Amino acid sequence: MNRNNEHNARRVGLDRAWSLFPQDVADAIAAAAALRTAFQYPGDPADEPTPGFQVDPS
Amino acid sequence: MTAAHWLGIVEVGRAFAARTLSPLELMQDVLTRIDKLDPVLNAFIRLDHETALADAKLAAHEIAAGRSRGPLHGVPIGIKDVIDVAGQPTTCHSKLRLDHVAACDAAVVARLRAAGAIIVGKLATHEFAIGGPAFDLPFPPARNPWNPMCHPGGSSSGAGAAIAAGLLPGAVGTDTAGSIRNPASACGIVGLKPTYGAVSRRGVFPLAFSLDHVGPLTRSVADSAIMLDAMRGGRGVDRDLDEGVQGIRIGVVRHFHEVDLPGDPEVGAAIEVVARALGEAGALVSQVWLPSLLEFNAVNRVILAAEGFAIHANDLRERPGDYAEITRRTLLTGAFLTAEDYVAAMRRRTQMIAAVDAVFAKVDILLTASSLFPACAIDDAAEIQRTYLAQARTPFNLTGHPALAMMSGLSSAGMPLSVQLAARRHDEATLFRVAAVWEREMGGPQRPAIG
Repeated sequence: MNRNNEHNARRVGLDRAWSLFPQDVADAIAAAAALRTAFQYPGDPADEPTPGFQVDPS
Repeated sequence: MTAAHWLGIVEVGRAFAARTLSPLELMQDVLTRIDKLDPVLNAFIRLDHETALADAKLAAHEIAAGRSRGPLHGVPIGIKDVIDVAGQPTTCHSKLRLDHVAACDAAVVARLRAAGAIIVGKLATHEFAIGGPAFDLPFPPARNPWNPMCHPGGSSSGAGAAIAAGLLPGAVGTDTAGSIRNPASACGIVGLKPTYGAVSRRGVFPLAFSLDHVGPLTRSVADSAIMLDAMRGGRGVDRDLDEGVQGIRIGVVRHFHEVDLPGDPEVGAAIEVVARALGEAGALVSQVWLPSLLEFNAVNRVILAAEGFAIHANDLRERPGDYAEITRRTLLTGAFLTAEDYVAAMRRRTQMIAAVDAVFAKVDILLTASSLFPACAIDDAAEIQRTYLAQARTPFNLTGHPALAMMSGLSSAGMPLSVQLAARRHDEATLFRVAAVWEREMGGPQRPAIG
């Protein structure tokens, strides 16, 4: 697991963060994994349009 | 007689017009109070007495000469230190930005100055408007005027502390996952996250491009309406706050705090008091259901983390030790989300927006919890961690609807409780009308005993 975390950190250019703060990086990897399963992924790509923002109309 | 520093923007305007108070007298009183209380509250990162007094003197001359620019003329305002004020550092409360001096005012600051407001100083924030209170930064964290041992909410923490303590009548904050409404809730004041895009973000250091909002923190609802009007460029906001709520349809969202993320029972009880009061005032109150708060929070966090990492990637790679630990840990999450995760969250967001819009076809206002717990001790990291994310504000960052947090009462420990009202996009006027009715029911803005 530790090797995986190190690999993941280096893959995104966080070598220095990994060497200085390995626990922070490990926690971030775990947090991202938890978030990935914390909401419902829409199924059909045609289910919804692009994000429906409305900016100030003026 | 009310001390000048406790006057709201409306009352200040009346006093200026009646010549019972001048901008210079108000500024002197405000600066005296800041000097007295800020060593405890740490609301300010930067304060410029000389410029503030000079600007107040000029405003006094202009008003005396009959050249008033409106209700904000001569009024002291504070700016969260992620927002540019020309010639001053925009530190974002961070070691990484100590030397960054803004070349010009952010658009919102320019608009407030055009309306005559006087920029008194820069206010404390959580580092880069994310994370939480930290003790490993160049400036100390702001503290809660109701109890300085407690967290004032954030990330617009200095703004919340300053307004609640009577150091300023108004301030500008930013809100990406509730950062205006959190300090408003913790400090018992009024915090408005306007409709997405209604207030310019030019000159504001971003946290997450598609979630960031700029808005006012004030002690009263009427003052919030005045500030929003100026911040949007003075196009006019319906400030007739005396129309009442007769016939307005209010949907109470109970599952957020009762089922999805159970909160302090006192928070829920206070929401019922507000709902009952609005019903007795003539509103048509019903219960409505939205998607789960847990899912709103998760989608918001994915988008915020991904967009936030895109902004901070270089510094996290090169200078990770220059961030506070809590900021670094929070921002790093975005490095490990994929494009697929981000797109999936944005697609789910669209569905959630549609779900909320569908409810707004049936009601005019949503009444929900804001903070699910009252403010906790600022040095209790575990409790901060537990309560910081226990909030019901992210739905409206995702949807872009305007949302206002305000006091709903006091907890048994004497700390503010809060509610949140949300309206259709660009319908801040109805939001203010409903909030004003509850404010009157409550007996007006409440003050802590500090000072």
